[in-house]
Amino acid sequence: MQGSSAEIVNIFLVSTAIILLLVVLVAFFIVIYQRRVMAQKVRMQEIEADAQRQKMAAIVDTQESERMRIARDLHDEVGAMLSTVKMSIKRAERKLAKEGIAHEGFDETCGLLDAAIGSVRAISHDLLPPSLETLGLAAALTQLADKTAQLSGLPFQCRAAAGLPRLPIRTELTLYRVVQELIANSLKHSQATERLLELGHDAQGLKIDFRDNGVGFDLVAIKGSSNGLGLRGMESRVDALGGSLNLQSAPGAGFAAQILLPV
Amino acid sequence: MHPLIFTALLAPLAPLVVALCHLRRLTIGQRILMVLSLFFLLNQGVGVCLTQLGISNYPLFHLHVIVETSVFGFLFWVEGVTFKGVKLQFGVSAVIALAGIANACCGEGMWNPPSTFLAAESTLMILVACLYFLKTYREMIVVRVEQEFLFWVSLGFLIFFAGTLLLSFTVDYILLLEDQVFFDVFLIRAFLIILTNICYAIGMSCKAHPQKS
Repeated sequence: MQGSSAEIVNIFLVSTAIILLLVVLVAFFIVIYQRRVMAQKVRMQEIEADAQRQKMAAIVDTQESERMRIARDLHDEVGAMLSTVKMSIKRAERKLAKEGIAHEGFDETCGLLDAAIGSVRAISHDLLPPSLETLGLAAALTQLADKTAQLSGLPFQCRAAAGLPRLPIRTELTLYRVVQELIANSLKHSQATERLLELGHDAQGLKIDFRDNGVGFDLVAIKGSSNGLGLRGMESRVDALGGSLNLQSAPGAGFAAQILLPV
Repeated sequence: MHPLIFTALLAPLAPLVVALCHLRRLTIGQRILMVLSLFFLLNQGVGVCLTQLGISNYPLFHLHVIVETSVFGFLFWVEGVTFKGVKLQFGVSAVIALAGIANACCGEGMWNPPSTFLAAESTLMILVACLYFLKTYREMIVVRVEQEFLFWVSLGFLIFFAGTLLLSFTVDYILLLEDQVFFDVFLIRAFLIILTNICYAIGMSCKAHPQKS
């Protein structure tokens, strides 16, 4: 009887141990499986984000290439052609004057041609600032700040650290466009009386800071609405370069943007 | 009293204390388990007192099993564990709870151990726990499963009900054997109660977060 009792207890012990082992194995399997699923999801998200970034970079690249081509065509071909037409008209005017034939309207035509040449140049420079190609991002942004201060009649400080590294022209052009849009937004919505642009670089890379003392806005609300399309577009463009755009604003607290680009 | 049995009697204190420490952020399911732990503690305490007084504690055992089955079913229902969109276990546990009451009143009787009912309860609870694990396995839930309250409750279920399944099916037979056998087997059960309550306590410390599929 004593032996069979011990056997029964042993059976209970062994069966409980086996069941516990099975339970632990099932739980362990579920945990491992979940971890794998999670890791796979994270990997997929990373791949998707990377593909999205590459797609965005390709779009921006194509856009900028096209803009550069149009800018050069306008400047080198249309601009040159208009100048040639103006010279021809001047020559014709001089010839007519020499032969004593009436030549009214030539001055007006030349004035219109001058305006057209000026417009073509302005559009071309807007599409591809000449200083950006020749002098680099810092010079181009300084010029942009000066021009903005001149047009708005409000102070706009621009400080660029010495020895900023030159970047590929398309990268510089994208950064220029983003800053251009930040300034345009500030002029349009902020009612700011002062603006500041700072360019610097450190171990992290290139750093561009833009600030204004305007009315500010609810960043979260704007980003969530259709009005935040421009902000999201700027973020995507900087993201496509491998950098980051950090925005800060609150009602009554002005606006600040920082672009960080690892170089 | 054997230290293991004493610890098992006080084991529901573990989830209870953890729940009280995180009272503000407990989910409804965790609050239900907290109340249930308090019930287990009191039920077991009263049961021991009755035994000391020489009164059978089988009615309390019946009550324990009925409350456990129905409330755990409700807990899984509240936590949203469904199978093919149907919250089956709530209906099944409600039926089993009613069956438990009927069993205590006119079946096995409240002064006898609820052996048949215990076996049914164990089977149901193992199924409920397996249902949760199956759901977790089949659905792509993007959360760390070991940080889920229900994971620990289900693990506790499996440990306790699967571990005591043999006892549940043979309780009548065990009672016929020597007291020492019953005591030894009861020690195994006490050990499983402790493990289960540790699982519940870990579950109580889990934060609620939305499940993303």
